[in-house]
Parts: sequence; C-alpha cells; structure tokens
Amino acid sequence: MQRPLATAIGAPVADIDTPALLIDLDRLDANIAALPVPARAAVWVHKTPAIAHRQAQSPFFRGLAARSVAEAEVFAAAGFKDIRILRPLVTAAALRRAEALARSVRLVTAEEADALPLWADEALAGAVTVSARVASAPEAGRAIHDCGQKAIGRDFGNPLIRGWPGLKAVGGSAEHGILLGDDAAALPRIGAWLELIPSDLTTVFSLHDFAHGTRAGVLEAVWPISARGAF
Amino acid sequence: MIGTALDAVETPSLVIELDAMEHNIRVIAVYYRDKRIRLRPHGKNHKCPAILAMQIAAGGTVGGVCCAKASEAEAFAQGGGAHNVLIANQVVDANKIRRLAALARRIDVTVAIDDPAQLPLLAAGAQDLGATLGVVIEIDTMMGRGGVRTVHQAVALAKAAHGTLGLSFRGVMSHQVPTVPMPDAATRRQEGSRYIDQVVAAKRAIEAADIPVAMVSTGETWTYDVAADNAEVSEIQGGTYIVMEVPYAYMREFRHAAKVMGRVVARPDAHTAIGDVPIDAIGAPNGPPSIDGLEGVRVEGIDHFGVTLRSDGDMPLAIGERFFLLTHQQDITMNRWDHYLGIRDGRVETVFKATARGCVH
Repeated sequence: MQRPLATAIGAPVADIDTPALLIDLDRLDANIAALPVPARAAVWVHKTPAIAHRQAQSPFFRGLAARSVAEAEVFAAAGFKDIRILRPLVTAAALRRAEALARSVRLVTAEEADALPLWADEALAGAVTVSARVASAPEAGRAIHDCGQKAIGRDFGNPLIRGWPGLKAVGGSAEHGILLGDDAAALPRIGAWLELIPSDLTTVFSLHDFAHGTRAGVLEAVWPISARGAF
Repeated sequence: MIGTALDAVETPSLVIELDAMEHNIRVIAVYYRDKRIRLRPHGKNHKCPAILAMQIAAGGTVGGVCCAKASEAEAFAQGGGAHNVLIANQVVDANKIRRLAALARRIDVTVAIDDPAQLPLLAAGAQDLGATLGVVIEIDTMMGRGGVRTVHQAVALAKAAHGTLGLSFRGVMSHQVPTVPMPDAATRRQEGSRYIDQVVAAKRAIEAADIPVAMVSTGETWTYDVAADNAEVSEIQGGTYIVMEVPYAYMREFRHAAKVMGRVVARPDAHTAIGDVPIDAIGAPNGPPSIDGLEGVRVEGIDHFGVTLRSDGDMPLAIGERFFLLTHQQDITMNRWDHYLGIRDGRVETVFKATARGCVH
C-alpha cells in the first residue's frame, strides 16, 4: 500500500511526492455537468467512492456499474444503493456474496437487461494527470524522471508530457520515464516538476492508492482509491 | 482462507506456488554459499517483507534489500528484516531525502547518484537529521537511462561525493538486461561480462584516485552465475528469479511460481472461453499473458473486462473452471495486487501481504 502522504490540504500541487495521481477538480466537475443522458457510472475506471459520489450529483446519474462483486461490495459499503454487475456469477461463493449484497442494494446481474448506457472514461476525460520529477540528466537531449509504468501504465501506450511540446516519452521502464528532446536547451533540469497524461484511465487508477483532487494548482482533497485491487 | 482448497478460492487471484518459489530461493542460496559474491534481493519483484525474510534466511544474501524508490525502502525497513537497503535509483526530492535520512539513523541506507547536482540535495537532508547517507555511483552500461556515461565522470563524481559531509561514498552499481531474447549460457556470459567489466573498470579508476570502493553492485538474475565469477563484484541485485516470468524461461534452473488464477465466465462458442482476469489485474505492456499448461489453448486478447482464450480444437474449459496465466513482466504484475496466496498441494497455505505495493515514490 502506498504510504499515506503528509502533504497538507492547501499545499501547492508540486509539493506532493511524485509520482502522484492528480485530478483537476474544475475539469472533473465540468465533465460531470456535461453528462447528456441518464447513465450508470462505471466504477472500474476510477475505483474511487468519492468520485462516484461526485458523479451522483448529476441529475442524470442512475446508479453504478461494476465489473465484479468485489468492486460492487466496496461501493455498497460507501453507501451506493443501485449497482449493476457485468461479470456473470459462476461460483457458489460469488452467488452468495451477490445475495448478501442484494439485501441492502438494488443489484442488477449480468443476465438481467439494463438499458442504461455506461458513463465511463468521459467522466474523467482530460482531468487526470500523474506528476513526475526529473532526477537525472545524464546526457544531452535526455532527461530521466520518476514516473514509470508502475505509476502511469503503458498497457495502452506511452504517456504524453503536458507543457513540453518538444519532448517525447520513450521506452517502457517500470520505475522511470525517459524523455527525449531535440533541443538540449529545452530539456527540463534535475528537480523539474512535470505532469504526464496517461494513455488509459482504468490502468492508472489500478496503480495508485490515493487520488489528489486539485484546483488552481493547489491540493484540495485526498481520496482513497478504495476499490483498487478489488478485481 | 488458510487451508482452503483452490476450487473454493475466488478469482481472479494472484497465487504463488510455494514449492516453486522455495526452490528458486534455494538455487541462488546454495550457489552463493561458497562464493564471495552476495545476493541483494530486489524488493520490487515481490513487494513483501515476509518473502524477503525467506530469502535472507536461506543464506547467501547481504542481509538487506534492493529497492527502486525511497518509499519502497521504507516499507521494507518497517518489516524489520532488512539491515541495509540500496535504493538503486536517484532521489532528488527534499521530502524523500529527509525520509531516507531518517531511515539512515536506523539502518544502513545507500542511494544511487549520477550527477554532482544531486550531492548537495542529499547532503542537506543527511546533515539536517544528523545522519549519513551512503551513495553509490550508477554506471550506465546499456540502458540509456540513469547513470554516468564515462569512467571520467565516475571518478569526478566519486571525488566529489567522497568529500561531501553527510555522505559516505560506497562504490558503483549498474543494471542491464540481455539484448537478445532467450540468450543461451554462452551469450549470457559474453554480454553480461561486457557490462560487468565496464562497472569494474569504473571501480578500478576510482580506486586509482585513492578512493576506496566497497560496493560493486551489478548483475541480475540473468547473470547471477556470471557475476559470481568476477572477484571484483560484491553483490548482484537479483529479483526476477524468485517467481519468474515468461521472457526469463531461458533460466531453466528457476521455476514459474507466480500465476494469476482465473475462472471461465462465458463460452461464446466451441473454441472460445472468456475468463475473469482483466488486463489491469496482470498488466500487459508487451502483449498478452500466456496460459499455463494447457495444450492447444492460447490467450487471444485481454481487456478491461476479461481475457479471451481460444483453442484449436474444442475448448477444454467449461464455465466455472479455473486456469492460470503467466506474466510477461513480473514486477508489473506483482504491483497490481495487495495479497498473494501461497499455495501448496492444491490448498492455500499462507497469505502474503504485498506491503510495498504501490510504493512508487
């Protein structure tokens, strides 16, 4: 488990230990307000009850969709009352757990028809980045930072670097990121703080234990990604 | 959970076959028994202080651990079993350095450097807490990542580190991977020796400048034997051997121990089964995982919802039946799980807590 950070609410975003999962709250709230039709919030994307609670503020929110009983249990414990489970239940134990859930939650199983569309990546589009810090600048045209696959994921491609148009993220290190730049003068130096845009949201939330809600460059909230690991 | 038969275990789950893992641990422990070289187990490959304790108890180790990040070092140190830790990576964050300095008051801490700009950052944190931080120079042998690029840079950095209050210059290190898939023993020796020789060359140059070099940390699972033959190497950073991964199958002395267990949840047609292992439960940066021990069945694809298995003949797996997947990148997979089920003879014998999971800081 990620060690809880001592970063105080109100601190500048760059003070949070890197690599950190950052959520731009203004963008998140705008995305939520833009939901056009009734839909179920797909929890496997963010696995974070606090985000689902925020999604529930939309007048078009119609409950949750989870992949598994394990995911559903986490969100039921967080107070959600209407959950669809996508995965067929094929063991006695899974059926027992679903029956137990169904006592306090309206549970829609895989076999039952549910016409509600899934509200998945759209809720977080453009709102999620992972911070990084340059720790090494070993040769001209190359900078090494501390956000590797284990902090941002590469299953769906390399991340993009925000704000450095001449830089390219290459390679697939587990613990590092390698940045290549054409012009040596335009490379970030040791200690520089960066934001990376992940190639897949479900992956990035499967890597972190905490999400950091930020607004105008300031840390506003720290949310446990409670269903992380609940496959 | 303990004593539960595998058939009653929920899926997906990450299981570790204890017979296989114990075998792997024994192989290196026995090999290093009468050698000068020591194994520094890499924590990232299991994230578990209890498994580190098994490695240390087996013998042949440095009595400590190798970590990729400061927070990973903290997690292992908290377990109590690691008397020394090497963070095989550069750390420049003031907050992280303070935490390493605090750790250095309890156990021996060494962190990698590759640039003079890192020295005052490390020294400030060390001095603030009245601690000494060990530093080791990373030599870039082929990764093109961190590490000094020349022997000249290594010597200059060693001199600077040696004279910095709060720091203790320890030596040199590197990390490398084979450039060909499935190298045979001769290739491992030829390639591995080439990289190790570069590190030793830096060591000798630093010694020629009258700076003692105690630590020469180079070599991994794929050169555990090659490194042992070099009298100037003090330790390897061995990780993958413990639970293995598909690309490492050429190291035949080690057995696949970690597997992701899944169940079939759908049978769309006679040749296809859908399993309950989503891609985020195993990670697939270099392509899909492999299925374990099922002739004629292969993994066709994997996505956020599950894994698709295809068979040439009739699919042998019915709904509810279990299968095992082998990872192509072990530390990526282990880092997706909070617990591993240690299994033996078809039952859960122990539950390992992946304490250092997610410690990427």
